[in-house]
Amino acid sequence: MSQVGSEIGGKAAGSLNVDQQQYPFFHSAGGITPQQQSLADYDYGQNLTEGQAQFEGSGQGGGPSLSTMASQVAGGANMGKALDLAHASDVNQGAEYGAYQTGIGIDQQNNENLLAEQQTNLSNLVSQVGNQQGTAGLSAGLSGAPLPGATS
Amino acid sequence: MSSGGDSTSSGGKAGISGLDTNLQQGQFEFGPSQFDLGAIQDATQGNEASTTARYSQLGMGGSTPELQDLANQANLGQAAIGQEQTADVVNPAFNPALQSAQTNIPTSAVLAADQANQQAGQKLGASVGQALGTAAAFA
Repeated sequence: MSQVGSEIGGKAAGSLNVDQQQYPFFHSAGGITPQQQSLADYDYGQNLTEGQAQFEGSGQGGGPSLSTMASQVAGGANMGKALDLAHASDVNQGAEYGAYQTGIGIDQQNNENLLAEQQTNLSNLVSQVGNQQGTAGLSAGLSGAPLPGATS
Repeated sequence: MSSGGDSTSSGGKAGISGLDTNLQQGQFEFGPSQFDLGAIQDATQGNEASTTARYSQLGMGGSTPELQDLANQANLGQAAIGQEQTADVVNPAFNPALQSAQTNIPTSAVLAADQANQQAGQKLGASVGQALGTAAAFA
């Protein structure tokens, strides 16, 4: 985005050639912050503790050591953690997209301002040239000399 | 990511004042994101490993119950991925095909600039014509 803005800025400074160009579409692989990872780890531990506690001394294969029910509980907690992480990443990605759109809006406003400035400068230049042509024409007419740029 | 934005630089500027007449739509992508997929697949693989370890401990490695539990873990993983896909596919942050095309300068601004250029040209032409007329009158 900033690259495009710089390009337009350079054009504004050096020439009047400004072309409309399309921004790349937003795309993200997703991701989480270390704090979100810690939260997921904490929830995972809580779920694991609560789940495995249900089978303590129940005579259904439970207990703190590796057991069938403990494995099943851990499996569920693992999947729950994965979904928690995915949801956190989804929120992050949505926020990143919003920020990307905001950045585009700012860049567009800057470019529009540059374009408007160019038009003002061009209009002033045209006025100056017109006035100079008028003055030159009047001088040429009074002196009888040929008008600059006139062929006959 | 779609290359639509890049492709416009070579083909779509034959119109008025550099107006891009070849805007591209983003690529359609089904969610979930790479991160979501990785998290779910890691959990699925971990569950399969722990299930295998438990059955090995019981001396039932490779037995029918173990294979059924492993298949269930794989199914659970696919179901979780499907759940994420359903939630994400309608989100523009995941699916570029749902994002509107944005250009560095809005079309309205480009057209306004073109109109301003035309007016400036007409103004210059009128000034030059007036000068020539004045000169002719004095000749």
